Amino acid sequence: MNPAARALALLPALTLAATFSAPAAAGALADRLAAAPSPAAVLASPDALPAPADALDRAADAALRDWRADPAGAAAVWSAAPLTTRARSPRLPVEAGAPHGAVHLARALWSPEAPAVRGAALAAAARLVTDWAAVAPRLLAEDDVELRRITADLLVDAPAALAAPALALAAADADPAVRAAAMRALGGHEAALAPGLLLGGTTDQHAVVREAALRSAGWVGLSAAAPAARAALSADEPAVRLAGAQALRRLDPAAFAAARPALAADPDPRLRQLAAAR
Amino acid sequence: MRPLPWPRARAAAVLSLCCAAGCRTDEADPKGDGGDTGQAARALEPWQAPAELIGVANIDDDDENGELDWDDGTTLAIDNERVDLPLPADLVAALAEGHSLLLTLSGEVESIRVYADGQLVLGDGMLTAPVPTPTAEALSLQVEFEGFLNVGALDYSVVDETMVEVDAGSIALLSAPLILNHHLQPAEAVMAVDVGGGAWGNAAFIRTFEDTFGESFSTATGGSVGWDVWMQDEIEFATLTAPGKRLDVVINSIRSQNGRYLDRYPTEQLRAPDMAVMTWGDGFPSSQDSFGNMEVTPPLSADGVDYPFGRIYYGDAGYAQVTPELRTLLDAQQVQAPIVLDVSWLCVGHVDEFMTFLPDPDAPRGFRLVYADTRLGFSFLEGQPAELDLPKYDAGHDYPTPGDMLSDTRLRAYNDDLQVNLDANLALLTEELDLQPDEIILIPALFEASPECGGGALSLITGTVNMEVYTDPDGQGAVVLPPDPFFRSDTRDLPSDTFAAEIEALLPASVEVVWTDDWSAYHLAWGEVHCGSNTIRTPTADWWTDARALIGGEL
Repeated sequence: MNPAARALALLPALTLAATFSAPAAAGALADRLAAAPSPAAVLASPDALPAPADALDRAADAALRDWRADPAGAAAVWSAAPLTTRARSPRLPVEAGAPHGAVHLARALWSPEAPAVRGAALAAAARLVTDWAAVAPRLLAEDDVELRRITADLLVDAPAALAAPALALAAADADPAVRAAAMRALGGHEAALAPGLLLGGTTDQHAVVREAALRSAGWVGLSAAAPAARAALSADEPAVRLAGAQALRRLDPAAFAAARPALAADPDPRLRQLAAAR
Repeated sequence: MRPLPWPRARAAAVLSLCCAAGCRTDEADPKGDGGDTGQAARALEPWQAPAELIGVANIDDDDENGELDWDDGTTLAIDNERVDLPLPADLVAALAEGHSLLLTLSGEVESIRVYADGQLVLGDGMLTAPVPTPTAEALSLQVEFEGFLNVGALDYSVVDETMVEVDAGSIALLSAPLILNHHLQPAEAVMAVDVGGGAWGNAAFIRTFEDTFGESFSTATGGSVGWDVWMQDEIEFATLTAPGKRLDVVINSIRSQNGRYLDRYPTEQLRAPDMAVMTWGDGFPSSQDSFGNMEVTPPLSADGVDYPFGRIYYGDAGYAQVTPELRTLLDAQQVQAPIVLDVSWLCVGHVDEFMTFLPDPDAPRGFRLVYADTRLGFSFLEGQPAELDLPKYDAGHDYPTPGDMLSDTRLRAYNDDLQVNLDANLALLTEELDLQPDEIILIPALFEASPECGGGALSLITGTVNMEVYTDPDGQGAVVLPPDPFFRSDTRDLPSDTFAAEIEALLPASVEVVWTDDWSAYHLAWGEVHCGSNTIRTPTADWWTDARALIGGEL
């Protein structure tokens, strides 16, 4: 990043530093911002994160960790109100604090103290750091199912070379929510990235995984999944039947046309709508 | 109305009770001649009592002591939820001269009380009692209800000094159902949360509301509500009405609890005399408990049934539903028969993410359903310059141009798949509401999968249907505040926005459109303008006449 761009990127953070109560602290923060390491380096080095330097730094960390309990504190750090998504999850306005924010995001991500914030920190970091998926295998080894789930889901937009090994791990996860996330993420990549993972997903013992695998198989045009899609039409679970029908429509239009009469009589209204669609 | 017979045996019991209560009984039939005292009987016209008394639950706090008025015995002078029943002057005079008025309460006796000039006569375990001897020329009874659709009867018997019944009758008692507001009711006030300026604040949003609504708009400060901007989700406004009475009810969602976020806002900022705050349900809330997921259609007839207050609709995500206590309550009100829609495909999972209703006097039934459609969303995109710079979508969604959206095959497939959910819900609405095609306005929409939300759908282009609807006093038009789509290169140049222009051409002429910047604090946080605002409305129909057929007909 050239100096001018870096100065622009720092502007919001400098503004928040200037609005922080102590001018001296604001100056210290500005100095630290100027010397901040690259976000990618910070994120990829969980064992070598810089320790909080002073009270201001600790306050920033605490505000992130205790985001739900102390939104006002977080607001003081982030220069604006931290966002609560409509689904009640935190959304960290990392863009306003980058690259300084990456340090705090990384500390939040790798801290076990505030599990509710870790997923949001990862999502924010994924927006900030292109190669974040380099740390995905480590995240997929964590005990926190929700963190593993969001890690797998975020791989949808990761570079294929980094995503592939992580998706293999996620697809073999013990928890069906993580395996389903891996199947969803595969739908954002080329079919050739991991066709075996998708095919395996179509026969997973859990419906939520089969549904996601079928849907992604249809999106990426994995024709080898057409038999699984056809078989899914007789699944007990309406969501699996719907995903199978929608995949079949893409993978084998003739088979889908043949199935229309049966779909038109399905008890689920979505399948009846699909049968009637042009 | 079905008059309830006055049983003689009960009258006798009342007389005994009357004695126990200290009535003048020492001269009652002293000769055992059936009450012939030899005095001329007082000529008393039969009481033309009303066939029924309609009231509202006394669940507000008129004396502002922190307790519901039903619970704390608020004095009559302050409490305006009790239904007044003046006795005729000649009856009062007769009571003063030795007649007795004996009352009996039946039905939901735990939830109804009867007073005489503020003094409790019936209820709280007392089912039969005489009215105290009047001390003035006028005397009124008051009837008080605890809940919604409480049904009872007040039987009365007038006996003369000789204990001969000279008049009798029965008055049906009924309290109002809880009725949720719909978009054809005039708006009175609108509110939102002000979280200040800055890149992630909502200063522009607040300014637009202030400029549009002036003193009708009020805010809660962000710091006082935990920076929770989702005003629509926390509260739902409803009304209880009876002849001459109106009590607004704020239903406080279980979405926030223990005083956090907006939880205290209803009690601290809205609760007032004639404005009650109630909560139904408890336990761990789901997103479906938010009231962006609880809306009401305009008044309509469907399948031969008139719904003068519309029909409630809310979403079911399959894995999570509206709290059972609230569903049971709404079902029990009978007048707004709820419709349940599938919101399982959405990230947040609220019905206001894909539909709304607008007043339109030119429409067959006075309204249009405005409904999201992804096919139209892609049609719109295909008509745009592929290289048009879209700075907001670049920064917020990683789509720098319309061409980038169109070339994303996964985005197309995702929207194609979820359209079947929209179609299925629309088919259900069409059936349940007898909707005709010309009552439906399909609006271009695009959704994207949210990795943070497990692939659930969020609006990509701002969700137009998610708008504030501030209805005119006559209910014929409205000022609507949809989210500014920012589908343009110069974010300050709204007139150049082709998406906004397309929407304005679709919306009915009865609405004035005020595009509202909700991008940072709402759109990027998975909601839009409707999610961040709420509206108090004027009740416009009389359920005791207009909706009688829905609550069991005659009493």
